[in-house]
Amino acid sequence: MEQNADSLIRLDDVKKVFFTEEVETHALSGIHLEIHPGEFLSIAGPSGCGKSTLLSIVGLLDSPTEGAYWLKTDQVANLTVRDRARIRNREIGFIFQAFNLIGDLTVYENVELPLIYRGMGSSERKQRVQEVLERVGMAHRMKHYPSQLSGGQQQRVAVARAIVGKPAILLADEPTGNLDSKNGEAVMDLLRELHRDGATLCMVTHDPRYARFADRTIYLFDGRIVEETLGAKQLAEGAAS
Amino acid sequence: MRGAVQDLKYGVRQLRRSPGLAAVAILMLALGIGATTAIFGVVNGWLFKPLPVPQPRQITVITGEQPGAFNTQFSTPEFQDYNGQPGPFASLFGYAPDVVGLTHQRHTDPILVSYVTGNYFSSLGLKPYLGRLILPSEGQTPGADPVVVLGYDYWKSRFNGDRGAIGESAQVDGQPVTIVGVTPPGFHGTATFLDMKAYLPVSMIVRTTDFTTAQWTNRNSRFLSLMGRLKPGASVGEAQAAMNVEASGLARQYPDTERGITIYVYPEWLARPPEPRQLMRQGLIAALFLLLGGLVLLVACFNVAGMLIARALARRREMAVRVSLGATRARLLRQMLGETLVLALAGGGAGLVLGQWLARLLNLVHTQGTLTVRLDAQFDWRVYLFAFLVCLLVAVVVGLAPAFRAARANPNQELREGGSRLSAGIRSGRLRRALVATQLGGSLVLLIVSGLFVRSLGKAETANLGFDPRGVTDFTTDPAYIGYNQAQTTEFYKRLLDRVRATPGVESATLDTGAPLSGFGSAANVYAEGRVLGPKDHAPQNFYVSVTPGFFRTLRIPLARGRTFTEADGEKAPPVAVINQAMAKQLWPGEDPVGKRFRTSPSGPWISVAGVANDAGYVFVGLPHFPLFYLPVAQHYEPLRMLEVRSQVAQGSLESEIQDEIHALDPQMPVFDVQPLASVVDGPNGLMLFRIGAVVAGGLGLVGLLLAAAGLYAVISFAVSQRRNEIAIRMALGATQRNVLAGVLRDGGRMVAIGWAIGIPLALLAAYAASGILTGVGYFDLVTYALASLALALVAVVACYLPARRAMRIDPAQALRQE
Repeated sequence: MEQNADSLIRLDDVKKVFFTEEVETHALSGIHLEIHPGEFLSIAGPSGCGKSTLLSIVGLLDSPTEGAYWLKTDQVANLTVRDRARIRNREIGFIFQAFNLIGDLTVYENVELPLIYRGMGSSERKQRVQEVLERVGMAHRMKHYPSQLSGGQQQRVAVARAIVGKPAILLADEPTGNLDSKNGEAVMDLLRELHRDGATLCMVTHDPRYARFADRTIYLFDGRIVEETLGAKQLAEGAAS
Repeated sequence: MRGAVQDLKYGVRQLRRSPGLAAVAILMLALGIGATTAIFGVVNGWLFKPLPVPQPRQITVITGEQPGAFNTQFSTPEFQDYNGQPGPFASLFGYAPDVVGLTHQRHTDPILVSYVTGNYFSSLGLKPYLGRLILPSEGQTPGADPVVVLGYDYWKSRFNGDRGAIGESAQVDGQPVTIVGVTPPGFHGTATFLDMKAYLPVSMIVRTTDFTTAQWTNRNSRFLSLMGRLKPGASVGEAQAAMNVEASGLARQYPDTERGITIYVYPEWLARPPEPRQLMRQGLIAALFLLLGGLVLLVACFNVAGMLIARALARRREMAVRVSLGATRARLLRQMLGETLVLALAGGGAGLVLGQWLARLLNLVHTQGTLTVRLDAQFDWRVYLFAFLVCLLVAVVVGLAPAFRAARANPNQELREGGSRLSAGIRSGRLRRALVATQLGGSLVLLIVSGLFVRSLGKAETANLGFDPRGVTDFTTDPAYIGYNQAQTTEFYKRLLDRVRATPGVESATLDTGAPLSGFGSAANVYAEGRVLGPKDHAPQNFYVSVTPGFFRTLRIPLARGRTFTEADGEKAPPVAVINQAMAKQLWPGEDPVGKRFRTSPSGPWISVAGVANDAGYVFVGLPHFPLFYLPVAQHYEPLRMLEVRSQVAQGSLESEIQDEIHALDPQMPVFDVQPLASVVDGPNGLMLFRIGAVVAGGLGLVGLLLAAAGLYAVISFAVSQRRNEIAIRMALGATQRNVLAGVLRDGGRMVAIGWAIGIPLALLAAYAASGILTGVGYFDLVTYALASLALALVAVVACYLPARRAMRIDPAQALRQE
């Protein structure tokens, strides 16, 4: 099977089994999934259904036990640790529920980090970091440490760090899970804005308020995709056509 | 490169954000690096630092060895013969250390000088600091060239750095000389460990000592230590080959004196001192003490590594974030090693300060008296380079385990809220325990080796020296320093001894040419009557001193057979000697030596053995059975004498009374090295080396023990905090406080047991290596091993008890509620 030229990401019959001493846990079973450039995909499902495992595999933080994974035109399921790190750095941006900013680094340094790992020159780094911090409205806090920021501010910094490298896809794992509703809304507005500007987004959430912003939502249960729905916009477009 | 700088900057920031951890880690590393660097500083000054002369690698030391003889010097004719040959040497030059009296402005100092050949300074390539040095044209004619060159330090201290001293007159042993120059700073002569105060042309030896013009031309009068400067590009091997050829030629030409002499050519830095058989020994001593310093460093490193592993646990999420952002494992390793490099460099900086302070302490180690020993522990680029390399090594040793742990962070697990950390915790705990067990093992090695040194010192201190130094005070003088001839000197000493013996409170007094362990004395070949030496045999070389009647009584050296000297053993009486038991065994094993005869040259007068004295640690405290003989001072003249007075009078008043008596006979008479004989016993031929060894090794042992205890405490504390919930459950299920205490102690006990299993075999190896420089204790001294093990166990119990007490006080209800 080959990668569909229209797809940014394609998973074919992906399985993930966790082996412990006596137990095999099937976290994902036969996942088929395509994500297209510019798409906003939401992954929903109850706790323990495999959402985060799926996101980890898509984000190359974990590898599937079986199945194929294409990113753009490359098979990436069985790359070396070093190559996965390189692809993560260039193609994928992460936004975590717990923000995961590094406490010992300033806002500026946190955002700069992926570019340092990429080996980018300092003047270009500086320009890019300033751009994204202005975009997320955090330029005035660039010398602050994460502990000096509110939760909503921290997540905006995390979004800035995710997009600074201009990745092919943004992966967000419950990005509003640790935020109050006001800050949650603000972060979602930011993600929607990024999506409107062409970003591809894949977001894990079990909050239906935010899943409705997605173009498409897939529902996982016991490691399988059990349902797939289109968002309001897609439905409207579908009805019009 | 840019990334490396960022890693280092981040490392600095990490230290600033964890000041407590950083301070403890830096202190621990500073102790380890400081101790190692200070020891390396001494080894560097001793073995590695080149002579402060141009092209020092061209300088070689030439020694001659005859079987059975430890005389490595050369006579003037031999020097001239060897130096006259073209070959790989640009020149050969020589020196002969001696103690003389230097009088300037009516004040006489006994000082250590070198009589040097005229080409000594020009061959070394030295330029004067002031005036001029001794010229190649000088030192050729016996008795000629009455000039003296002052050593820079001596000029500074004795002449207050007065430039006007150049050109002034002075006297050396009463002979007028002119001060012509000052050596450059930093040059202390070419004799290992000795600090030369001044330099005289070798020709002056005929005027200032009893060395005669006849001896000047005698091939057997070997007194010059020989050195050579190689021509550019010439090798030591070529020099050795050339010397072998020349020695063979001389052996054919002068078979009586040159036969059997083996010549060795060494690079100068491999000949400190120039004793061929010392090379292995000095390397062994240096390696042993570097090993001990290295063990302290290792214990410190493992301690810090343990702390960093604990911190790496706390930073797993940070590492996982970095991985998610695209950091490779290599990049994380580099970052973590960068952080530990900053820590190591900070520890290294503090260690250098500490090391320099320790080195200054070691520089203060010197002997009282005239033969000043100089331990050059001053830091130079080699020490700084060593310290830097140690820092790099420390960064790797300390950082590798935590770095690998961090680089193996599992982002998939860490980035999820509430991910289980149990397995990583257990693995880290095992690693930390392994590190602590190794620390305890290293500490046990340090304790055992330091214990052996301390026990060795104790044995040396309480060993029967063969003489009784208590209540004896030494005064050294030499009438020749102020120009007395033999008759005047003899008369002076006779009158002095009479006056001293009549002084109230003086039990007995004696004069000799070398007190026990003072470093003064002579050596001579001995030929037993009736013993024919084979063509390849050589007469043994024994130590001797000249003494007055009353010597054995004053020093309380028991007589085994025969008699001691009396006033009847005068200049014209038949030559007699008292030998020690070791010499009796050496020359006449199983026979009564009294009445037997020996002589000190193949054609010299026979000397009858009048008595046999018990062996005494005369030459070196570790050599109690070295063969030696005593001659009556009346039959063997030497102007330098030590007056030894046994008295119950208080030390201070006796010293001033005796000096008054000496100056009553001649106000100009120099008196020096006034000290209790017990202080001489503490000197370089006595207990000094044992004491230095015991203090250095003991200090290292103590530091190692404290570091290991700190490591054990940290691990047990961490384990208790990790097991808080488990302990609470156990208590809820009925465990008593005693059960909890036993559990924690058992945990520590296991590490101590593993440490013991690691430490004992290593200690046996280290102790075996050290056994050559120990006295009175074997390498497997059960008492030392038992005491060291006990000390480690006690410290471990204390280190475990404190966290155990915290564990015992856990409130199960509260702990389980929090969970």
